[in-house]
Amino acid sequence: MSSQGLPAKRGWSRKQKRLAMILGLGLVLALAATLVLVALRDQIVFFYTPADILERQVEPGLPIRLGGLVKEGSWTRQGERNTFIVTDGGAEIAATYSGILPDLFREGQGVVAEGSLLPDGSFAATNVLAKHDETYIPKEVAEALKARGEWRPDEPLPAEQ
Amino acid sequence: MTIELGHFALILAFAIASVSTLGGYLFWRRGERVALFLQQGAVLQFVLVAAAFAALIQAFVVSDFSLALAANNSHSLKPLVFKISGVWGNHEGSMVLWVLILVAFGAMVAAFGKNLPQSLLSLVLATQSLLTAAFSGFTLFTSNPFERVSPAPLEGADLNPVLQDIGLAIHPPLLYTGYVGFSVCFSFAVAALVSGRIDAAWARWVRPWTTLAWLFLTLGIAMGSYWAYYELGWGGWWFWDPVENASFMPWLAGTALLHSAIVMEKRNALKIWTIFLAIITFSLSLLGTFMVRSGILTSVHTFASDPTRGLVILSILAVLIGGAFALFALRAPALRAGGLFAPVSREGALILNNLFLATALGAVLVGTLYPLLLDALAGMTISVGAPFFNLTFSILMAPLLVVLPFGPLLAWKRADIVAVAQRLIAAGALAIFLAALISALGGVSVSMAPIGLLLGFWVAFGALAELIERSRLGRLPLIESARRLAGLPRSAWATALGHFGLGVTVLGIVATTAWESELVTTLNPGEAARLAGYTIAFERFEEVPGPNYSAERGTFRVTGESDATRILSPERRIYAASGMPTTEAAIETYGFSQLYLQLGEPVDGTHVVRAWFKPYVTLIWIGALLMALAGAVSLTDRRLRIGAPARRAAATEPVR
Amino acid sequence: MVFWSIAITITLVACAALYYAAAMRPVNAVGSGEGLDAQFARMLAGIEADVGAGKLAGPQAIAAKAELAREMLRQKSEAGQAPTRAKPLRIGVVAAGVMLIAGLACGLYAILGRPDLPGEPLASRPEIAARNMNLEEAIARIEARLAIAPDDLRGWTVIAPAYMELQRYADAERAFRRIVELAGPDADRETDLAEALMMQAGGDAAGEAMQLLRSAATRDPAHLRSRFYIAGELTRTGDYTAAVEAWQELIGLAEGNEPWLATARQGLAFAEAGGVAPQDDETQQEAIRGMVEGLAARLQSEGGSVEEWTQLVRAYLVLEDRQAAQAAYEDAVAAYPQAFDRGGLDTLALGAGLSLNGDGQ
Repeated sequence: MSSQGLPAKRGWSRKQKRLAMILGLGLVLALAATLVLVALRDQIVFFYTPADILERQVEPGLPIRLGGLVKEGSWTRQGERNTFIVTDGGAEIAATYSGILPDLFREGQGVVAEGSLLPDGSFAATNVLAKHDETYIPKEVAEALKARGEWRPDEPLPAEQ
Repeated sequence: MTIELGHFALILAFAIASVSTLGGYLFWRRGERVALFLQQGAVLQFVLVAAAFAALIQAFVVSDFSLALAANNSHSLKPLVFKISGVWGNHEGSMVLWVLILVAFGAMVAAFGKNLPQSLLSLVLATQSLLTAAFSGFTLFTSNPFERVSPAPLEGADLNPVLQDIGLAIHPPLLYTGYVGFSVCFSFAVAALVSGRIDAAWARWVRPWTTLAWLFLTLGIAMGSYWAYYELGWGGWWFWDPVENASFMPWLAGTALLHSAIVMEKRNALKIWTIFLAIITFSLSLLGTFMVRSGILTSVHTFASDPTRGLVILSILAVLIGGAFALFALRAPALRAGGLFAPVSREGALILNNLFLATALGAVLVGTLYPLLLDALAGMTISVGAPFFNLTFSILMAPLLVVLPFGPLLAWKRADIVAVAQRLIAAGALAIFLAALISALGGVSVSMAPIGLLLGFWVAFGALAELIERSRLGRLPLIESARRLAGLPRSAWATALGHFGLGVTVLGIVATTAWESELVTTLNPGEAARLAGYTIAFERFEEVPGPNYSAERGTFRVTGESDATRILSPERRIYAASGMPTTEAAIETYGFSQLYLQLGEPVDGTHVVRAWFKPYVTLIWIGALLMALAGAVSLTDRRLRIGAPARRAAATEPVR
Repeated sequence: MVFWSIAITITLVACAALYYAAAMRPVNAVGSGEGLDAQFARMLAGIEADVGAGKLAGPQAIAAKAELAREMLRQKSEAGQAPTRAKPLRIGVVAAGVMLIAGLACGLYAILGRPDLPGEPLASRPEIAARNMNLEEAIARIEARLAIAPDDLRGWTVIAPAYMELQRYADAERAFRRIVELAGPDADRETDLAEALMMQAGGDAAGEAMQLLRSAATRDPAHLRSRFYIAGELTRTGDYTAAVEAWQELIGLAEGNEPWLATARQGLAFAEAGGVAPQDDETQQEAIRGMVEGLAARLQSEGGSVEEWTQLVRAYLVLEDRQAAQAAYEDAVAAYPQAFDRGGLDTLALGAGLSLNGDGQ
């Protein structure tokens, strides 16, 4: 149970060794915790509805998530460039996206777009999420819409036929 | 009647599990009779749940829509394999699969555990029975898969089309086997805490189970990642989706457990930590399986959730996990600390491994739960996306990768780090050379790419260094070296293979991230586009009927610079029963790289095509397969073979 | 009860296995487990292996072995102080546990299970059997079976109305004759046979058909269908006196709201007038339609037997109102969701080309 049988290379006692080890581990943990906290501060993405964006005057260029309904009749596509309007019943934001929209991207359906605002106040999406289930409504969207009285869980979306 | 007999079998299994739990905990000190009862009970639970599961499969195969589960999730026109996999493509059925794997592990412990001390065996089986009773009870009372409909509808509602894929047949069983395999570690930990007996022998019994579970979890996660990659059509292979994180966290904890159990077995140290990890790992597995079902997390994996069910499952989790930790807090201080060691030693390296894995685990946990907490406490809706995880995870893993090759070369108790470093010089030099060369040739688009490559090569070559070192390659005649190599213990091979696989995966991740190229363009039949040296010619667009869907298929002729022409056919499908559209990407493999082609919805007769060229992307999964293979090799090690150690040891090694 | 006997057998087998495993074998109170010695021997061998592989220098190995020895001594002394052994478990406890299992399983199943519900694999369900093969195929299969087993009354009962649907009246006649032979004559069977004969003769009920109808009418003084045909035949052949009598007898049997009553009254009026149609065709159509609507309204509001629903569907088909026929069929299915209750209705609908797919929705 002791290290006396081993040739002691360093003149540290058992206690000192243990203390050093605990200090080392503590240091790594503290560094890791700092890293996580810093990253959390810098890397989280806020979720906004169009109304939030207008109210809070979100800075252009800041990565955000925009959630709401795709306004009926607002989706146009030219080549690979899509434009559509995201609405929460009140406010509206025009959004653009280059690429193939998800299968379940539909006018009148809920959508969450990742991206940032352009200086002209429109939204440039880098990624559009519409999950693979026609009954799925992104939770954030459902809640934001509920808060605005636009959606009741037991009814279909207001914009749906 | 098979359905009702299956129902009865599940209920009988629940009854046996309940009584086994009760009897096991009450009478575990009372000797062989209890152990024999519990062993027989564990085998019977397995047989009965297997029968129940077979009854469900039978009902799905013959499209018996008087079973509500089949009516809601099957369709008579579905191909046979999807009828079978449809059994677990839903909440209720997947619960039965989960319980089936749980009782299978229980039966394996009963079958292979004859050499265990009776009191330990009784406690382990009692804990397994407790888990079985809790989850089969949950299944029966809140989400009964054997619910009937009368009158039976004539056609089923069909399975979510995304799930109509061979991936569903493979991914959940593998993943569940991984999750549930850790239940054995959990049961052993609880048994050790209750009985107060824990020693190196305990670790030797736990280690094979950890390895087995870890192996399947590795395969399950890799398979899930590849499935998401080709089925969801987003071109990504890892999204840091809450559910992916939920499967990744037990993997990190399980990897740590795998390594700390080695220390405990060989050196009788880290006992308390190993017990703690065993509990944590299975707790995270439970969270992984059930968080998504409680409705707290929403994701593509979410089955229709109902609030009562969520509440029940959360209370079960709270009782099980909370109980285990309370037991831990109560009993762990009584466990005696084991052997001493110097900071620079194999033990020290393994502690470092555990430290970094645990902090990485913590970071993932925080990133996954932070939005929930913030939402609940402050009412703010935020998302913690890939950037957070990529940043923290890579920074926390980098030091682990740096020290990893040293570990296996260090001696137990106290090691000479300078001597080890000397042995690794060749591997390091080679890694630096290759990383520099590739970065120079490939052009550096991501600043971290050279560092990532360096780490990947370093880990891969470092893993091989141990084999070279132990075979004295270059210092002995070649034949002698080969003989030594073949004579190395399986565990040494497993270590090298596992670490090599990790290096391969790192290389795949770095290469894909740094040199992926993407193209989104309008492309109509007759036109062609170029990407990464490949010419993609859109030949024709046609409608093709499928068994239970209709598809729009684009046919593309892809010509590489030095490669024969290949035909790729991405599709968009509309499923008849649900009217749901899905995108089927076309993927062509060139060496280790892949070309990924996705077809957009045609608007006004024009088509949008999205293509990715993903260099060396397959290395990610090849590396994972190598890691899983390492687990399998380790299991074949004579000393680790489940159940065999005691007998074998007595037979082959003279006592005293 | 088949279910319960199997379920109880399973329970008994499981309980017996448990009881046998735990109680019927000679056991030790406490098992041996793995000896500490073997475990330490292996650890010692591990150290030797490390020395052999050059991982451990000589003095270090000696130190490690010394520490191992100390640890072994410590653990052995701990094992020596193990608590006194408890008494082995009594057999009675095992028996109680086994009985608890049996009680729990059967009780829970009684609450949760549905032992009364049979399995309904799609392939063996009548709706699908009907949908998956056309009537000719079905008949061919039944015919093949009847060729082997000509005494299969059920087979003849199924095939005879099918022949009628397909207008294979000669075959229908043969089938109905066989039914009469096998099951003995009664009013319905004789009328069925007479119907087949009449259809063969293009509506002429002379000869054997009339004899059969009369026999049926005598056999069952309240039999309506045979009387209906007799009255019709008498009217057709111009025997108006007898016809008036027959119609009156038939109307006398009515309770007042039968759907056929209007037709009978028309027949009576026709016979009384000596064969002069009292109304023109259009009004007659109108009257039939009114009668059908009445039946439909009654079935909608009060429900009715499957036969009445079948009659309604048939009436709409005769009026060539396919939409209404389809709607009536679907209402009938809603009222009688179990296919085997519907009997000839599905056959009729299938023969008429109505869609069967809406079932159960």
